[in-house]
Amino acid sequence: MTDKKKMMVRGSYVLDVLLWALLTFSAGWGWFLALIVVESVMWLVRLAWLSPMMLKFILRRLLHMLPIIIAVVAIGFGLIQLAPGDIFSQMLLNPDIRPEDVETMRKAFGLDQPWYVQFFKYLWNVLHGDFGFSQNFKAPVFVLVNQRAANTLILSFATILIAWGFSIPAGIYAATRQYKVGDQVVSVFAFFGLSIPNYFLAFLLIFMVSSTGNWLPVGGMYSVHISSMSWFGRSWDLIKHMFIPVFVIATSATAGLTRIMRANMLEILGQQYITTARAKGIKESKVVWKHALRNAINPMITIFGFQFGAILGGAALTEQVTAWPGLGKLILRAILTQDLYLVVGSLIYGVGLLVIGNLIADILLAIVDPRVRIG
Amino acid sequence: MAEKELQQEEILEIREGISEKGDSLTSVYIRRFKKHTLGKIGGIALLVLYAAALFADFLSPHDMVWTDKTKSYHPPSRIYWFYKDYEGKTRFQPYSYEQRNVNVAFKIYGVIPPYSLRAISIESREGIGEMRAIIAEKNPILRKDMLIQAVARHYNLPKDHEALGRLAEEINRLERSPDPDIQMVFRIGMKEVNGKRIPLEFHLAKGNKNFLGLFHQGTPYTFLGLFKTHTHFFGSPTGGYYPWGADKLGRDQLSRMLHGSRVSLSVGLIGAFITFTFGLAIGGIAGYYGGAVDNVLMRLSEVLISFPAIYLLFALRAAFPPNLSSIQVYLLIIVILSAIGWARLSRIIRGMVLSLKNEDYVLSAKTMGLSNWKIIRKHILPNTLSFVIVQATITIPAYILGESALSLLGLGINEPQSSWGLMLSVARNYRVVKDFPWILVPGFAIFIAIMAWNFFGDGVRDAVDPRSKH
Repeated sequence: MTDKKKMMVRGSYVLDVLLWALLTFSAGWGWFLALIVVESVMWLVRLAWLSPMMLKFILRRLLHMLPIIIAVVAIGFGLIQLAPGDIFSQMLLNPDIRPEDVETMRKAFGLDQPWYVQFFKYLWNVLHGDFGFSQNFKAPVFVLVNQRAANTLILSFATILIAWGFSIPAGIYAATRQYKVGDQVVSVFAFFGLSIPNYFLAFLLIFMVSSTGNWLPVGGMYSVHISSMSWFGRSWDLIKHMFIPVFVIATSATAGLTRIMRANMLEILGQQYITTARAKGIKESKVVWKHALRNAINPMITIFGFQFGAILGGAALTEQVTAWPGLGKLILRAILTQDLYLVVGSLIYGVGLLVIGNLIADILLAIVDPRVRIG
Repeated sequence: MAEKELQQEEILEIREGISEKGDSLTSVYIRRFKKHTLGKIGGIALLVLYAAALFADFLSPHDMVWTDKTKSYHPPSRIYWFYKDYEGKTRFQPYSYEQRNVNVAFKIYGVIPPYSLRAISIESREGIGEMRAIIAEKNPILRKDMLIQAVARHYNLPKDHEALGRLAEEINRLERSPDPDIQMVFRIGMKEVNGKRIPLEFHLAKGNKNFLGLFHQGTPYTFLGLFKTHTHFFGSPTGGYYPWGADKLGRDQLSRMLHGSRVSLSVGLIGAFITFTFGLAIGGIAGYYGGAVDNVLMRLSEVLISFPAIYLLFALRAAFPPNLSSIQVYLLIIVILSAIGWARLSRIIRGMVLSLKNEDYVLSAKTMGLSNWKIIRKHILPNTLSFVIVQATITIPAYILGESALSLLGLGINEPQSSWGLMLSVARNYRVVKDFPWILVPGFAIFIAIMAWNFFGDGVRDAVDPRSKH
């Protein structure tokens, strides 16, 4: 890898940051999210550019997704076929709609065909980027799911930021004061965070807020009069609405990560090279932050992938109780109304997010840990 | 010198919990576990919780469907210890009040456009005003009428039929189409107004029903499936005493929670048992036989793992008809949880089996002509036991959570059955949470149960595998 290449990559980071700031400020949060997607792709390209090994690795992982997507479509289809009735069954109960019309609609929707024909047709369309049409929302699945997934991703990103921002210092703090008061306090907090169900914590927060004069919105994502607000007003409104769901999901995520970080750190601090470093008279802060931390943080990155799944799961439940219009809420509604293509589409999306989360974790690990990159 | 060495040994023995006597592994584990304070606390809490679930019939004041509809959202009853008699002397006599069902209607309004409320001329001070009226009415059907009358009384409106009708219309219209400018919310709730006094009598009493005491004769049940009885541990046969409040239908929350704990707590145990049976079998087979079997099983588990678990939970539940009987739903939840849970477990077991199957003792068992099944069962799987035990203490609370989440969203246990998640589902309406916070009590039960399992699991992990990370 040449120095020139490295310089160019660094230069592109600076350009990036400028672009982000400009677009987010002028065009709002939708652009912010679009940029995150563009950014991740650019990251991959940069990495691939920097090392052909990485490129191979990334391509292999992406190819791995293909059979999984087929399996997900199959499972989604299978489950909906198992469920009694379909989305039009409800209409048959409505005396205003003639049964013949329902049959026509079924035909137009392709529901009269045997399941395997539906399945392969749909699979073919999915592989071409067409996720079908939601009968319930009267909109293309892709658009719906994108919109909702963006809302879920806002929650997840904020959660990840907060969880990592708190848990790593907390883990280090606890590990360097093992069995002392500070450690005990952190451990108790971690146990609380791990044990309290997400939705219950949300209920408690909602109760606290609503019984002390509604100083925070307790549900939904936007205020009613959002359209009349300035950009700052809208952002502030969004942050206020995010507070409860993010607090709830971040509590459990932080608790889990803190415990893992503490254990990692303790293990590393017990190793001989740390003793050597201390014996050489290196400052304790340097031992902890330079020698121990870099090795203690590696396993955390692998966990990032799993954690992402857990955060999506936690978000799905929290969305239900805080009325956040995210992917979890969409999928539950789709399942209950038997909106076939919407169910399968959002399942694919959820799985895709998880796989990409794992991929990012793998790539990050490769960046941080040279052993992985070479081996 | 020799003494010092001995001391060292003793310290080592204490730390590792191993003695020279050649104890069995189990007794070593138990000895190590006993040194873990939090683990012991968790274990004791679990014993209490599961014992309460086992004796739920006896411990609860009523059965889970017992209801007094006039006591909708009855607040938790307080016990008062002293009272002042007619001479003004303070006397010791524990008692509780039966809370009367008193409807409170109050209205919050913002900007009031002159046209809509001219007819009843509500005056606001500085744009924001508040009206409070208390209506004592036991019959819920009359609530709306009483509310209207209270509003009329409060504002000194004419009591004739026409004026009241107009007011009712006005209120109905406002409630039906809430204009963003007018925030007019009528809430009907309960206010704590003390009614009949229920003396506490700690004795076996018959005949006089107005008491709160031990061993009262209430709803019939079959004690542990053995014999029929009416005796409950404590409570009041007439109702009116709700230690943890009542739900919307006036059912006793404590009774429902005790009965619900049977569902909520057993789902974890049974679900984990099934998951581990399948996980061990599948992981063992995949690891031991390898080849095509391994490939198929592991690809299947890979697909399952690649779903966010909760999405799959929803989708699986929805594949079955919604109106199943309670026992069917209960079994279905267990099956669904296990169907998702086996995948991750079997992958780890497979990895362990892969390394174990080349051990000398397995090879020698093979050469001695032991059947494959017997080798897996007797020689390989027992070696994964410590991992399995630790993993079980993580799986069980996860399943308890899973059940409560499904029930919370209306996909799990249905009424009139009870489970902690189902009881909490009313809390999804934040108005209810605000007005009647005691409906959150089942949440604390879930919290405590999961916390206890986590503590217990921590202790077990330290005992079984002291060097493991957690």
